[in-house]
Amino acid sequence: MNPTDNAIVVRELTKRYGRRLAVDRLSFDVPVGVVAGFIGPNGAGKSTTLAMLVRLVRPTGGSAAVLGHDIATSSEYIRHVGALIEAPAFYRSLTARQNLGLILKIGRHDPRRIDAVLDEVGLAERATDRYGTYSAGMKQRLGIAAALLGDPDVLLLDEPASGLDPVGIADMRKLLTSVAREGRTVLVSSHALADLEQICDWLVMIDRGACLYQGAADQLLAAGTAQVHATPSAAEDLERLRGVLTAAGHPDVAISGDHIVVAAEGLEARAVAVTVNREAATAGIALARLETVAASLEDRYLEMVAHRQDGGQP
Amino acid sequence: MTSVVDAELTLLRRRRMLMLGVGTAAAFALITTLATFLSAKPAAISPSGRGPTLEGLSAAGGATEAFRIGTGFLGVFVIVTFAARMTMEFSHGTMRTLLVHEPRRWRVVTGKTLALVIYSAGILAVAAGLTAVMSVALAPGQDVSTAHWFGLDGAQAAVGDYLSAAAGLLGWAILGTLLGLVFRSVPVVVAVGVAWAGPFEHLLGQAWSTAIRYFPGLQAEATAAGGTIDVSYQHALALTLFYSAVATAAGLLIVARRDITA
Repeated sequence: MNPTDNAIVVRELTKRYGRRLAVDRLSFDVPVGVVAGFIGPNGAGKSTTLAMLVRLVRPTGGSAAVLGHDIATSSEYIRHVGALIEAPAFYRSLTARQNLGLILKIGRHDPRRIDAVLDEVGLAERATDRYGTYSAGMKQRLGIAAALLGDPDVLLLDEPASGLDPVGIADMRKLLTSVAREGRTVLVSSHALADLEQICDWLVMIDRGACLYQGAADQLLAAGTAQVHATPSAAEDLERLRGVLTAAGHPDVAISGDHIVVAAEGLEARAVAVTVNREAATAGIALARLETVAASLEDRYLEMVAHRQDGGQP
Repeated sequence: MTSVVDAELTLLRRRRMLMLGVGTAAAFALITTLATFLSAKPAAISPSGRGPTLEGLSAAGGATEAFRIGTGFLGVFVIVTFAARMTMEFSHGTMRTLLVHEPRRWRVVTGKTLALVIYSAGILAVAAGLTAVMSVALAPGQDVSTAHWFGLDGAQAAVGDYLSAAAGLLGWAILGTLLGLVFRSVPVVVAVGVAWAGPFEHLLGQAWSTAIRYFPGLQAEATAAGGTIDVSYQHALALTLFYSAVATAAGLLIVARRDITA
């Protein structure tokens, strides 16, 4: 990929707080126009990395560029970046509109943006309420509104779904998808992997400050172990079906509830399903249900973290 | 930076903040005017030259004499206000929110401080006016002549008293802002501010006469009072400006290098 196609380029980025290494020679790219998930356990260095990208935190080593600007030598790119880093923080005694107005003046953004972003995050009706009266979810929405205020090309969001109810989370997914559709780049950190899986086309996984994976989301998921779920019509055939499939040479066969789970390691899931169907029929076992289940982002993430903990390289 | 000043003034211009400021100015005017007029003695029985005299109150600057004396005691209040306000911006995370939109930190910190100085200078002007009005009201009861107060000399003295107080305010404001940038906790910054501008400098000043001529808080105090019998106005003003410049440079260096983690 041509470097100019990357909205964010991070190389050997390091942050040390005294003896604690928060970010350890982290390198990754985020292409222009993608929604990139930034995944890692608590304390992995996600917030610190995002804070470094907007110059809130000074790197100890390495380099990074946002929209082609070296973060160490330029601050011009900040005008094109919207960010919500850590928890949202506003003046409690001001209304949402007044808080955004204050930020708008300091950032010299277009005054017409206030109504647009309040509408976009669903706060238009509560815009004249004081921030101090807001629920956690509403505060989070205002934080996102502030990030969108400058009509940014790059959006950096740190746990944006934190505190949101299910409707809010669904709204957030729609918002991020529509933002990306407008050609903007989004780097979003979250622990809600199922939500990220639905919206991200690029993934950056980190653990203990180092990168585990970066690349297209579908590639990561495709490389995971798919499963075949087979449910016998008669419950008493469950144990027999497991024996038949194990005897047929399937390496990983297990019972889960009312069905058998067959791991399709290194094989195409559909081909394994055909084999399972044939072997069940040969043994005289009727199947009520047979389906292939792709590896989820959570499965892949847990696999990679476990692999790293076992001492393997990502 | 004007955009930051403008934004911050939006916060300070709210009715609640204006009421708070005017209330403080009124309380200040009432206390200082009463204390000054009730404690004033004839110069003949106040040979040390310390404290207000009836002759001094009857002179051209008599209308703002109480204001001039009172501003000398504002140091602790101003230092703690500026220090706590700056510390809270960092500890509550609002500074982080603003710096994501304006990464030139010096602009944000300088603009916020400048706006608070403008607001405080406005409150100080209200205090000066209220003190003058109350002085006019109290003067007849204390046999203080107001004949010289309303001429050109009286106006010049009043403006001079206000400008001296404003210069002292600026010195305290910058020192307070530096404290707020150095210490990240509001309780710590209040404790340090009160201890430093209150007992620390004054006790040392009484025990060691050199301190009176060189300690930053005492120089700002002498500047606000238009000079004292121990320190001339010019000396105090020059040192206040020097300390303010050093504190500004130190503060901006701290701001530039600090990680914004809260």
